[in-house]
Parts: sequence; C-alpha cells; structure tokens
Amino acid sequence: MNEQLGSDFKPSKLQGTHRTGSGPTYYEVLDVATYSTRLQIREAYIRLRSTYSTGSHALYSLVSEEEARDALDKIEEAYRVLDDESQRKEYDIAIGLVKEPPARPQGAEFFSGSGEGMRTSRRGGGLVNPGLHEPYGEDPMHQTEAWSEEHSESRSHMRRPVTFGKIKKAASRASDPEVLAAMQAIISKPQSFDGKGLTQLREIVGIPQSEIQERTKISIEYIKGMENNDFQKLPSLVYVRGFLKIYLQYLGLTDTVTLIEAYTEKFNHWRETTRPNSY
Amino acid sequence: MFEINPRLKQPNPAPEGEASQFVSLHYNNWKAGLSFDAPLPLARHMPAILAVGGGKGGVGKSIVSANLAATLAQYGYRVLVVDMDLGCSNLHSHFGVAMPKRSLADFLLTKTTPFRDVILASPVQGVAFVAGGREEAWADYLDQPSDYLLPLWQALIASRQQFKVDIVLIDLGAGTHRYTMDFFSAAHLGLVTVLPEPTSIENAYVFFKMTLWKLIDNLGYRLQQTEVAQDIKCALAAMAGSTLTSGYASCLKELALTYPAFIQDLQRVIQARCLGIIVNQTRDQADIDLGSSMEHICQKYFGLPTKYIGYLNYDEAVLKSLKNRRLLVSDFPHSMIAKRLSVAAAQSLKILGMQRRN
Repeated sequence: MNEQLGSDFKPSKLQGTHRTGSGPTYYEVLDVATYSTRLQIREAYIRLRSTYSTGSHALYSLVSEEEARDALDKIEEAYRVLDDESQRKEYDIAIGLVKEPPARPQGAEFFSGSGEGMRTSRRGGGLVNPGLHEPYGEDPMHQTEAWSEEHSESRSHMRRPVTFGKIKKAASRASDPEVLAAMQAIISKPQSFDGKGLTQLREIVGIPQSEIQERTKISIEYIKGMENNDFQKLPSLVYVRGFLKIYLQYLGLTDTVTLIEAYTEKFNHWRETTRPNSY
Repeated sequence: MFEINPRLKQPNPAPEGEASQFVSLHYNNWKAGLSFDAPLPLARHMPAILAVGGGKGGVGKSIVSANLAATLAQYGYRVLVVDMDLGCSNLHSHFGVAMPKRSLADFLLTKTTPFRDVILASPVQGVAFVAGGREEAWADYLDQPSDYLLPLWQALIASRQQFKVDIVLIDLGAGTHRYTMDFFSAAHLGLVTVLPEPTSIENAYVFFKMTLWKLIDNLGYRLQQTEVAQDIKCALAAMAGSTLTSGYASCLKELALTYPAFIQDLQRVIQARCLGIIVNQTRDQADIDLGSSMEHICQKYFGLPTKYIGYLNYDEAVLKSLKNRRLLVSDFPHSMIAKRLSVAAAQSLKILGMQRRN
C-alpha cells in the first residue's frame, strides 16, 4: 500500500532517474511504469492533458499558465514517442531500459510469433488456433515470408490493445510500397474482384483471418464466407457491403467503392440465379 | 435501534472484528505526526480516524460526513461522527435531529457530562454522533491553545475499546484553525471536499499546505527539534514557486540534503496518512475529471499521498432532504448521489484496508 500511495518513491521512477541522469524520462513525465501497456499510457496521457489544459481549474493558484503550457508540451512529446511502438523501443534502448533488441533464432521467433497470435485471438474472444481456419495455411509464402520477415512488426501490432468501434489503424504492413504495388495489381481489375481477390489482398498484406476478425469484429464465419464466395452463408447485402468496407479499410485501402461495387455485382448475380424470385 | 448505549456496556469490551490494516501497518509512523500528547491504545484497539475538511465553507463537509457515516454503517461498521465545527455546528440537522440537549460543550467546557452521555443516537443504525453544542459556550475558548480538546482526543482513541466504534469520523469546520488542523493531521484518512470552482480549489490547496505545515510542526515537537521544523518551514516558504518543479515535494527533496534524518522521518509520517479528494456538486465530466487532476497535482506539488475518493453529482435531493429534515441517504436511498456516496465509502474502506462486513 505504501508503494501505491507514495508518489515520490515509485521504483520505476527512481530507476529512470538513475539511468538517464538528466531530466525526467518520458515515463516519468506521463507518470506511468516502464512496463505499461499502450492503453495505460494513453489513459495517463488523457488524464494529464486534461489536468494541464488551459480550461483546467486544477492548477488554479498553484501553477502559472506558462508552466502549464510547458508541461503540456512535454506530455505531448512523451506521448508521441511512447505511443509509437517502434519509437518507444528506440527510446527504451536510448535510456538504457532495454540493452539491445531481443535477437532470437529464426525458429523460436516463428513459434513465439504464432503464440502471440493465439493469445491475441483468445483475448478477442474468437479463434483459439488461427492455423486451424487458415485455408492457405500451407502456402509457403505466407508461412515463411510473412512470419519471418515481418515478425517484429506484426508482433508489435498484435500487442496493441483492441480498439472498439471504428477502425482507426490499418494493418501494419499496409504502408509498405511493395505491398501497395502488389495490391494495386488486384485493385486495377475490379471486374474480376471477388472473394478470391479479397483473399489475395489479405495475403499480400500478410495477416491471418483471425486478425481481421479481431480487429474489425466481423464474425469469422462471414470472413470465410466472403473469401470463399459462399454467398448463402452471408447475411443480406447491406451488411456484406459494410463488412467489405471495414475489411478493405483495415487492409489499408482508401478507395473501396469500386471493389465493393464489383463484389455487390457478384453477390446480386448469385442471388438472381439461385433465388430469382427473392428481392 | 441504537446500540451504543452506556447501560448495555459489556463487562469485557473486546473489540470485535479486525482493526484496519492501514491503521496497524502505519501505526508507529502515524503516531509521530500527532500533536496530542496522550497515551495511545494498542494498534488493534485503535479506531480508524477519518476527518472531513476542505478549507472553504459551504462545500458540503457536514453533508459528506453525515451521509458517509450512514453509508459506512450500511457496510457493517459502527461509526461515531463528531461535530468539530465548534461555534458553528449543525451536524445534527443533517441527521434530522433538533439541537440536542447534551453536546461536546458539556463534556469539554463545563465538564458536567461524561463522554458516553454526549454520544447521541442517530436515525441510522450503527451511527452515533456527538453534537458541537452551544455557540456562546465556545466563544472564550477558540483562541486558546487546543489543550482543552485533549479529553476529546482521549475519548476518541478509547472509543473502540469502550464503545466498539470502528470508525471515528470527524466533521471539521471551515478555515484552517489550529484545532481543525490538529484533528485533520491526526486522521488516518483526511478527506477534503472540493467544489469545482476556483475559490474552493484554492482553499483546498491551502488546506493541503497547512496539513504539510502541521505535520512538520508536530514532528518537530515530537523529536524536540522545533528549530529544525521552523527552519524547514521558512525554507519551504522561500523556495516554493509557481512551477511544478519547485513544489513542496521537490523542495523537501532538496532540503533532505541539509536535514536528512528529519526529512526522512517526515516522509514516513506523511506516508502513514492518506488524503482523499471528494468533488462535490459535479455537473459535467470536466468537474468529475477535476478530482483526478487534483490528485495528480497534490502528489506532484505537495508530495502528499492523495487519492481521488469519488465525486458527488449536483442533486436537488440534497436540498429536499434538508428541508424534509431527514438524512439524505435515508430520505432518497435510490438517488444517484446516494450511489456515489456508497462508492466513496467503499473507496475509503479500500484505502483503510477494511473489508465490507455484509
């Protein structure tokens, strides 16, 4: 209880001061422990921002406005670094918190990577084993390249807290120029776009279905249905269009309209041929 | 209905239940910050002492005291509320009781009544209270050193042994009078009531500062190093500025180089207490967030262990219950403010390391 109550004597703070020697670390600025999750850091940031913002009365009669502005600048800077996984890693190394990036043999990396995936998907309440539902799981491109080359990014991505509501961030690989070029090849032929195209896009980005399910909250059954063109398993068109939109946005596409229209055409064609009398 | 009755006193008054973890854990350090010179009972015979202060008047200290006591009693504790707003007491009105015949003045000033007879029944089971008493009686005493309050302090610390009181809740008056700070610095959990307005916040910070001052004073008195305490207070007053880096917490760290032993003891004394912030009359989210902001500032600037206990929303029920002359939580038990009070009570119990008994 003492440690919890004591503001001055947090071990993490003391460690930080000893190691840097000059000024408070970003962790001290945000008043968080060095092992805090991204969500905890964000909560601390929001709390502090409201404390030091100009409309706040909490500083009245104690702290001058200039000081509050300075403090706010420091908080913004600290949050900018700590919120970014790669920048945070660099910063941890710079202040001596982490000695060097953890280098592990290739095989171990693969297993730890898949373990991470399992943990994440369990947290999302969906799949237990992502490989189980992976239709292209034996695809060598997916297994070797996606996991070995991109393990650090995809792992750091996995550690992100689940955001509810709208998709704010696309998959981590989506900004890679090579990936973009490969995706462009599929996007440029919207006439032939269907579930297969969707699967290809996902594999270019290099993420499993379980991640789509976790991040977009689309049911795994619907994701599989959309990718396999199992139209009878899908809900009505208006939902499918919505699912497609967040799916494609998560893959990093901005212009989703043409692809959705193309998919809608396929969906309508199926409906007219199988159940011509239904609307 | 009411159990704290002298005529039913058991021959063997062993206190039931566990003492507060917080109280027994910090007992020795807490002792060093007291201004009262009286023999203390063992840690396990010590009631948890809560004090409600706030500096400014009209921020809801008495409402919080009366209703928090009733809520703590609902959690299964026996609570004794003491009206320490001497000269301006109105706690009895919050309980819906007319001005009682026996009061603290009879016990302390005229010394005609023993303490057990000034303990009055409240309309809530498990809560007893001591009324402040006649205004005119206090007029001559309030300027003097607070020695005349020593019997009250002795009665309060013995109340667990004598009356099986688990929690003593002291309702302090406005301002930072000497006796107010005496009792606030003696509390294990000092609650500060704040309204979301600049005047109240300013006074709350003054109150925090005076608490720190009082603790330095008391420690100097205990260690018989009053000069050192005086020096530290002067240095603090000179060093503190309007930046967070020049707050009292960082000044104390610098002074630790000059007075290492004293500051170390002071830190222990400070850590043996907890301050709680209650934001009263909140109207929007910004008001609610004020509490966590103040908690952060107090830790950074004053270096005091502070917790945001909870907020009480602005509610017409408060005024209505006062007009009905009934206790708020029994008049409107399903109002939002009653729920917020029970959250605050639960939070206080958590800090004190006490389990809910029912």
